[in-house]
Amino acid sequence: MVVKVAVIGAGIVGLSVAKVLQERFPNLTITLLADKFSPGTTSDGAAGLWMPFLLGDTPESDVYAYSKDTWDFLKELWNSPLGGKLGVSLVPCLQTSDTVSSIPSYSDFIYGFQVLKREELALYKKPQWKQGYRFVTFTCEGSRLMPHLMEQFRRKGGNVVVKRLECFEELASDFDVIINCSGIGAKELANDLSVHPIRGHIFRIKAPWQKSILIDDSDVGNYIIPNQDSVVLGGTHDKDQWDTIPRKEDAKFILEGCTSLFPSLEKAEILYEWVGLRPGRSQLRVELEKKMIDGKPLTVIHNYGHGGSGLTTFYGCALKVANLLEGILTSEDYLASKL
Amino acid sequence: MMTEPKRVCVLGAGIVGMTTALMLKEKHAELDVTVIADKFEQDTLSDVAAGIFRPSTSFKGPTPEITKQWLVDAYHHYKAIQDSKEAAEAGVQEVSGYVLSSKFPEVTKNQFLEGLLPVYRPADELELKICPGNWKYGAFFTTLVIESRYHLPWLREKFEMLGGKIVKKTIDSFNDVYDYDLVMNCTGFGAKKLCLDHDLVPIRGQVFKVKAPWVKMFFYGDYDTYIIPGIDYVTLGGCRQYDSFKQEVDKYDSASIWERCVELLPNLKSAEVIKEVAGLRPHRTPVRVEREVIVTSGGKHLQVVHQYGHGGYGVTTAPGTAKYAVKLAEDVLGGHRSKVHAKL
Repeated sequence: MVVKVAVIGAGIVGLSVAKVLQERFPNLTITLLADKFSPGTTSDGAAGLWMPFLLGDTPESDVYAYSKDTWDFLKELWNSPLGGKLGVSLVPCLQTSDTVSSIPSYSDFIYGFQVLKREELALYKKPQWKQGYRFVTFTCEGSRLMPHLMEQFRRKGGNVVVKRLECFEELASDFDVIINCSGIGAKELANDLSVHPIRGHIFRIKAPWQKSILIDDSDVGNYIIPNQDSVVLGGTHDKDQWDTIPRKEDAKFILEGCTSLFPSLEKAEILYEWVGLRPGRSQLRVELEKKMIDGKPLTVIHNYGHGGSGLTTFYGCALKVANLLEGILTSEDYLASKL
Repeated sequence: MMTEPKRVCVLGAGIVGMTTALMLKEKHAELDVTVIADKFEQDTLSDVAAGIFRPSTSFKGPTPEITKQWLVDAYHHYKAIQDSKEAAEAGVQEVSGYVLSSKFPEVTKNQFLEGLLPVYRPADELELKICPGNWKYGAFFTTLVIESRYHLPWLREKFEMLGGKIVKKTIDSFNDVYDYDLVMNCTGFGAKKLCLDHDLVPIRGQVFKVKAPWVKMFFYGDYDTYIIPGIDYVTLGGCRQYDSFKQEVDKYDSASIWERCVELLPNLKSAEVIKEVAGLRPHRTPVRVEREVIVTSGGKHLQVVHQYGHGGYGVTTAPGTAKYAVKLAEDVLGGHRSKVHAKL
């Protein structure tokens, strides 16, 4: 008896779930449904920095687990022949802030984590910086990884349907399990009021001489993240704002702020400006929901609310989804219901 | 009596010659400075180099204090450019990375860099596992990479804007430049013939230049294996063949370098090879930065300041040795007598 699974959403979260499920359950029929595909997804616009960010009240242990699994996956990719082509890069980072916070738990596996001494921080001549960390981390560009995941998905027999879903009920008659990776779309699809956009404005510039990341986590702070063919300058994180039209004040803040940190960036060619909506939520939601639609059971596994940490947690979440699905497929109730 | 401006010629247009010529002209606008060379920009040895600021612990000037001062001066000179708006045009980047060794803890220590660079620390247990291999010792540091492909044209532009002149010519002997008030000899490997200097020894190197924009950090592995990102390309190396005069690419070195680099960083397998090139590092112990008075065939006492023998550390030390050489030039032009005489 073939179990039919639908994955909703073709961003990094949906595509990585599709990949993991195909690997874990080769006999499953998987269909990917989405209205947006790479290069038109939020995952394409993001710089892809591995660093837990904007995850609301998600329990620290979950953040740690999901991001560590993703870290291990990125490390494996980095050491594979195609690692670079798949969008993975290893980059040093300086992270600063105007507030002092406790050392993050991922400092025990991120490379070379150091807390800057007062004298070292003072060298930057930014009196508002009260804290600084140095470490080496990965970036993973969704725009390079997603096409590969999609190609692999299709090659292994996955189906792709271009569709904008209004509600889960639409799929009830054709599928047994739905994996909801709809990102910001989950607000409507799952009727979830705790989903909110976190609006991010960036510039991509041509500055191949920029080889390190700087993240100023201050309340009003900039960031500079090199990717392979461009450097991302940011940014904003406006909560609950849905428009994606760039604002002049934000553009000025980004360009002036970043060039004051690295004067050489002034000479860089601007490639384009982009505003994306990070799929924020009070907490990251990876959980199973059993529905009954017209007397037929429908299992929904939710996997949304990744905020600013899609590229940081995607693989760990995909593994969790696979575990939840495995639990369902092997449970006696489920097997019985299929007879 | 009107004094004519003193005429200085700089022999050699690699990193040492061009850095010296610009430094001289910036400091002394009144001087008439001409760079004379047979090779420029992409034809120079400097162009082959990855350009990383990283002196060997064996790098030697006349005294340990002078050597250290050269390095400190060179670093601050390049760092000031990197912190400025001109960093990109000048080809100066800040790059971090790892030096790894499976056998020798000494390889990860560097008395010149510790204390000079903003970050120089041991690699931790997890970092030693980043690259495949049995790495026992490692260091992480943040330094500069100065790419001659950008830097030499940048130096040239600034030099010419100040009125400096450039002449393409092959110089066979100091007699050819007898009519200058001062000659700055920055001929690198050319000094072997020009000065009959048997202490100048070629140390042959070979590299790949590849396109791998995902490589943002440098990596050094055992036995002269290195991967150093530049602005557009990544340099893969290398070898250090003492007294080898082979200027062509050697296919066995290619195979060895490629295999060692790909073993250290497997994702290089999908890098696009742009070119392969070999070069002869002009090595001398110590590096020669000193005055000499050379008597030409016409009987003239020609004032010379030598500045050559930088080996694999030309880019690393050029601004430091140039600063020192410019002081010697000032001694000459200020009329201080030198004790050293030589007949041609």
